[in-house]
Amino acid sequence: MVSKTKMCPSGHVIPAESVTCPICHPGLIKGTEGLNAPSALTRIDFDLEATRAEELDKTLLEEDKPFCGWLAITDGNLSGETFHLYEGRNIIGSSSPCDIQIPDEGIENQHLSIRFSSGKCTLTDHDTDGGTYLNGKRIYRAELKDGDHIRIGKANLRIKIL
Amino acid sequence: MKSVEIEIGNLTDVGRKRTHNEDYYGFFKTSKEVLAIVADGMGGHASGEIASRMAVEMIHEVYSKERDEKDVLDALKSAFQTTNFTILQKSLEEEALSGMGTTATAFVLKEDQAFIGHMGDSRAYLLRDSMVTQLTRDHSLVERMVSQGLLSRGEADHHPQKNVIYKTLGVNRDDELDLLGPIPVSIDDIFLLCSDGLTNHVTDEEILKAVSKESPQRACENLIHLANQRGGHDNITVQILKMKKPRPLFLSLGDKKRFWLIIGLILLILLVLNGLILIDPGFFKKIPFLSPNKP
Repeated sequence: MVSKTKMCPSGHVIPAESVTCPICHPGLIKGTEGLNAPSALTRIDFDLEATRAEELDKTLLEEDKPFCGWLAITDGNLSGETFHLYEGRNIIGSSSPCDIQIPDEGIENQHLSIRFSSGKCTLTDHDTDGGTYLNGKRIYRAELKDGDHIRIGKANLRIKIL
Repeated sequence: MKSVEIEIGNLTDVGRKRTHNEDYYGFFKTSKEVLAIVADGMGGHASGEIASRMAVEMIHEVYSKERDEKDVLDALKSAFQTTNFTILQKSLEEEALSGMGTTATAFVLKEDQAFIGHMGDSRAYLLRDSMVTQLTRDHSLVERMVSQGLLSRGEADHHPQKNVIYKTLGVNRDDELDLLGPIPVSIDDIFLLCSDGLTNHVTDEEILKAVSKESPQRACENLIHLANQRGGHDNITVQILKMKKPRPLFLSLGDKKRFWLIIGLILLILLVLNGLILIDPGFFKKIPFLSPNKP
């Protein structure tokens, strides 16, 4: 596994994403001497400005949509995984542009969407062959309640609404 | 953007079985935000106490610094990463502190939005409309087995490896925190942060009952008392944050400020009246009900 670290100009190993070095950073922690960098790590130039620019871009792209609930996968390939659901439309499917990607048998590229708007949560099946099952019944569009069971392909999902 | 007022309660207790309290909490308030943290340290000697205290203090310090240029979630992420690294380095440098680590659950309230950063098995709950929702997921082996369907909830509660956690601050350089938010906050929402010393002994229903009946501080005392009655096997820490309607500006001022505001207003009125009399000595006579000689 590639460790997500880099080195600050003084040679302290710090997380790749940090813009400040916890050791050099004045006043952060008292009496801590820098830890010498393990020689196995390659030295990466510490480009403060570039890191900041990158992070600013990210902030501009990502809107802070309100958090509305979770979608938990109860079996299948990703069993045990939990995904966050946000206000507006959450697209679920097996392809990468989806907000929630579940690469499992019988799940189409963009299989269904879950929309949170004006206090309601609605599920829409994207006209799939395999279909979407809500609490055991095939549906195309339905309002979701907390704790509802959804089945797509071989994956079973459960929704938790905040 | 709406803002809410917050009523806070917090308390920590060593419990009935331990000699040291390795839990630590912090509550920090700025003009714009509230930051509350609960940390549960672990390690030999006194190192657990050091780890949890470092976590609370550093998360606060780094978060405040990073917040100048980052949004809440990014600042929380930086704060956890930096803290994780610093505790890890400290434990590598000092033999007595070797292997120390800590959980940390941090709650941020910004206007009417809540955010959470989390590592370990301390918890954040939301109590809303008589419903208790655990907002954080325990980073424990047992919890992972439950979510994968390998263990039932009942089996998990009595599992011998219940205390094994796979994510903590200060142990693994690459451990990532869980981030949650923004959670839109409503008036009367209650957020509760606690260490596992509470949840090992007290159920969701009992938490709900304690918190909805009493003030946050009183509820903390009662919950800790309950956990101690049931054995108090671990240190217990609780922070309760109750969202309330903001009071009108006048009432939200402190008693002293309010007193001087009233004195100031009275002086101002007297000054204006005085001025009016100077300009027109017969001023009061023009006001029928103030005039001494009624026509």
